[in-house]
Amino acid sequence: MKIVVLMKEVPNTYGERTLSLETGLAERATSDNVLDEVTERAMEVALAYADAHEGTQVHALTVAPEGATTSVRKCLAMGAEAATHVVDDGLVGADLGLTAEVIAAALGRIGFDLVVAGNQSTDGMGGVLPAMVAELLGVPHLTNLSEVTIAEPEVAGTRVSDDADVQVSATLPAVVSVTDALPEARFPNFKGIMAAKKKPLDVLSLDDLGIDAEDMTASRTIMLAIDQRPPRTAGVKITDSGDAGTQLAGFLAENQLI
Amino acid sequence: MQRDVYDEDHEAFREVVKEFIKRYATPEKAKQWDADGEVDRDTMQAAAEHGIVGLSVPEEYGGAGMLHDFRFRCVAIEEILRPGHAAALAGGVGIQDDLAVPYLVHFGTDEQKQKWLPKMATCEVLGALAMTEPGAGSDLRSARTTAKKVDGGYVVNGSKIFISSGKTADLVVTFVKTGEGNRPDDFSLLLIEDGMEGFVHDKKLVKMGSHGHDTAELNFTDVFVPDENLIGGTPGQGFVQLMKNLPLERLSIGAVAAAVSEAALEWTLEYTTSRQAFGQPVSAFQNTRFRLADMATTVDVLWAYIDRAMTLYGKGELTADEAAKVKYWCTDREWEVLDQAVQLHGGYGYMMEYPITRAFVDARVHRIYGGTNEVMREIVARSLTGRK
Repeated sequence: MKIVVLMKEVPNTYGERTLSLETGLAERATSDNVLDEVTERAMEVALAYADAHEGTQVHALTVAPEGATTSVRKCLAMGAEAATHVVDDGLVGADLGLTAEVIAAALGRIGFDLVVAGNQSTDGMGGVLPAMVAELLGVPHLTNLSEVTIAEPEVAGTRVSDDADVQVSATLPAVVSVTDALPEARFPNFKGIMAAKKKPLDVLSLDDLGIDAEDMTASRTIMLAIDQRPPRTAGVKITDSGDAGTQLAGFLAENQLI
Repeated sequence: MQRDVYDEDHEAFREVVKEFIKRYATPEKAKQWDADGEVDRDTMQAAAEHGIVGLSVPEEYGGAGMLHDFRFRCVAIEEILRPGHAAALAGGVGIQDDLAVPYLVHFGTDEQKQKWLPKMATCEVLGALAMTEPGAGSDLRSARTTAKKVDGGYVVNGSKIFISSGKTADLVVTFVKTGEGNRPDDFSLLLIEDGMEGFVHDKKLVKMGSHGHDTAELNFTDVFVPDENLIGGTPGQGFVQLMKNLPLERLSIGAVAAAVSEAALEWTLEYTTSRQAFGQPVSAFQNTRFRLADMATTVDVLWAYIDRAMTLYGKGELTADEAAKVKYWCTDREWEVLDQAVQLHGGYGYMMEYPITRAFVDARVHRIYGGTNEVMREIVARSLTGRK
């Protein structure tokens, strides 16, 4: 069984996060970059299964800038056997479609029985990438799982939504994405850090994967312009002198809210 | 000032220690340590699983094999001490890695290493080092705990005092008199085990600070210790063995002093920039600004000194005299920094709920133990002029 976990490096969710007004991209230089917590939980799903099932291979895959090596190494230190890091200047500002193509191509190269991802990142918050990857690979996807059971030849789990919890299952190979309801991930130890240095870390470019980021026949989302959010203006204050109700109704009518 | 002794492995390890503190050594747990007067064994074992303690145990015995490279130890010290509540853990970890394990690694027989080191790597066995006696501190040759040779071993009588980790220890490296006089070769180190008949070590001492880390009195009444527990297997080596580990012990205390100073500066910055007085932050007053500048500079110099000492230690070139300079100088500076930090905290600096207050009382002993700073100066002086 080979499980590939999609890992993402993000600006620290609990720190200051800003967008560059020149590029429209997240400012990575000024923030503390960490592995997105939900992807760590995805990794935990894979590692927990590997702990209980000898012969399971866990592989970390990430698409990230060059500086993300520390995060990739952390995946290896946590217990993944190998990692693939796709890094290419052509991927700066890549939209979900291009990112999904890259991930699908890399997965094709690595090989997999199961792909585990986080449900959505804390920076881009797209939330559709796992489904797009599954679509491109032609395998089933079970997304937004709050609980996962891997039992070859199947993967199953509980998909949470606002209205209902749905029990879902699929035959492997498949893609699943998990929510932060999954257990907190383990963190590396000293031996893990040392062992990580000896584990294979494959760095791939777009050329290696045979993907053209500038392919104009594909649908792409690009950023055209970015502006600072206008500062908040003071709201209307109504002091009740017996006619507050009328004034409120007037305000709502004026703004076409009633 | 940017330090340059660490590489990416040390920085990755720093994250491990931080995460460990966050998950396993919470302020709530530290309160329990204070109440119990000791760090619970589960936390020590969890720390061992993550490689935060056991760093000095060789790899073949399940440790990290870093006895000769203090840098990982220093990262552990920094990150355990930084938040302010977990100092007791730093104490327990330091005793294991810097004071107990090294005696087995350097001088233990193969049997002793095989028997004890794997368990010390996991903290199933905690160690302690017992030298001081009610009538013998810096003046070690006055030690009166005797180990009389009998068939198959030694019979130990006497007592030790102020022994860090003394209550929780399962294995005490004990400095005993195996000869008749008080020449260096009249002393040896014996491994005395918890549970040996006549060995009592449950008298926990009530201290000014370091409430969460046990310090005990040890009593030996006709304790039979088998020959196999004589460190190195040859009697009369005790003094020489102690000398060998002195640089590490002194460096370790110096590193703690630097780490506490750095943490104290961080807490004081946070306090003085948020606390208002006369309509402005305390950090806007010139006195505060000058004191903060002094503290920050001291912290830089402390690290420059510790980093140099760590580098020399790594090459096996840090002498006991040089380490004595490090120990006394760093702990004296630490005391100045903490005193300033308490002052800048005003009344809050006298409240035990503030980390600075705890650090202040905890640090007072840094100038006393590990050889008093006066004895350290005498050692340095001797290296300059001999005994006169």
